[in-house]
Amino acid sequence: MERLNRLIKEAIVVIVAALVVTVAAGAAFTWYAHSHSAATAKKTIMPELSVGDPVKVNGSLLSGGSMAILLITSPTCRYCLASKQFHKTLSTEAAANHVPLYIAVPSKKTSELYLKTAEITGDQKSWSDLGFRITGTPTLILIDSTGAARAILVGQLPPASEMEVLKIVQDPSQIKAAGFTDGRMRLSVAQYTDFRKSQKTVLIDVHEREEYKILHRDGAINIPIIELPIRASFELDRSSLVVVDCSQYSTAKCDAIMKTVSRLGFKSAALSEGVLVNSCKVSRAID
Amino acid sequence: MTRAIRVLFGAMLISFHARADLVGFVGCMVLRRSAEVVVLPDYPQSAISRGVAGIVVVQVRYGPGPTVNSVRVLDAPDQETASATVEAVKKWKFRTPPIASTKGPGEKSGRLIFYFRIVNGKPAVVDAAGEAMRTSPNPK
Repeated sequence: MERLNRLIKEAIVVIVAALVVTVAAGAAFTWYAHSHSAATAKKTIMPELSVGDPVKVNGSLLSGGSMAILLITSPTCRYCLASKQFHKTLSTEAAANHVPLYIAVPSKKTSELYLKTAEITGDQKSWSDLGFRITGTPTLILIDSTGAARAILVGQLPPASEMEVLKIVQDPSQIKAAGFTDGRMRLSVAQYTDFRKSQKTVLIDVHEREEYKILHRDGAINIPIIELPIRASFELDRSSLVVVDCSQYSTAKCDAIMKTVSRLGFKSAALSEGVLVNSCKVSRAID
Repeated sequence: MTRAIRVLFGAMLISFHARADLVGFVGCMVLRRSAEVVVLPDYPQSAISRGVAGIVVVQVRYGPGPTVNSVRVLDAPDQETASATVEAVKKWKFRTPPIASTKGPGEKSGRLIFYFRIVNGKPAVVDAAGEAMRTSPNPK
């Protein structure tokens, strides 16, 4: 009996020791990972790309004829995998219509197999070659003949937007069509600040009142989503660009809000800073 | 075994009560369309003299009958316009909208929006959804 008791005590000591070691190792790993990522993040403060900005890779403009496409993807991103079929169709259509397709991947070596099996073909680039910050994957950038971004689509696209992209690839002259770029225009806070100097804009925050009271951007008008279809025509100026603060929303939800605004007869843009929900966060900084 | 049956029975009772307490939320237009009796708020004299204007948004609960069960003010420029709106909305009567039948057997809830405006010195209360219905009979 005494032996059994001693064995139990020893077992308890061993388990406790193992637990302590595991917790200590976990804490050390977390601390290392956190400090390492913070250190690398400090290295790169890349500007975020916005509509109208020149799209540069390795310092040179990306362009080709009437339009070009830059697809930023990753084999480890689940939303990229979910969009695999669309990306395959896009690469086929781009090749058929002589539209250059550039594919930016985290590492050419590790992504080669993924692109091969997914049958996505194009001119491969590395993320580190890009002259701007990637906010999330997948990101699809439509570039006009001047090398400027005409549309920046972050996250897995809804089917209607996929169709719209394919239509533009089939007829590149549509790239300047206002409906698409207006409907999906994404502005960073800095860009919005610049934009409002030259154009009449109104910033709306579609959160509920309680949320708005806790946190909102300066100058934002609070119109909760549910009230938007009614209040928009009473309170918003049709000659202004309606900028929806989409920072906390998924691409799909942001699209739905912007569709509502467009349907009501307003030009709309989304203010999005940070990573949208149905895109994969790019946590690793690029040197 | 008996204990398990008791727990199961208790869970069933709780879920039944939860179901009975369900509130079907309806959009502003659906709510406004289902209104059969509409009473616009009076613009309070003191608010007019003080030049108080703005938006009043109320959350209305009604059902299963046509009468209003409760009115909660979400937004108002002052207490008087809020009270005037609550008094008026309490007199509204609704029919059960078809869409709400799928949203539970209990109460229905939605928002009503009113603009209290003084244009060229003339006070006016605008029922926003009613006005939207008038200008666009079938908005999506």
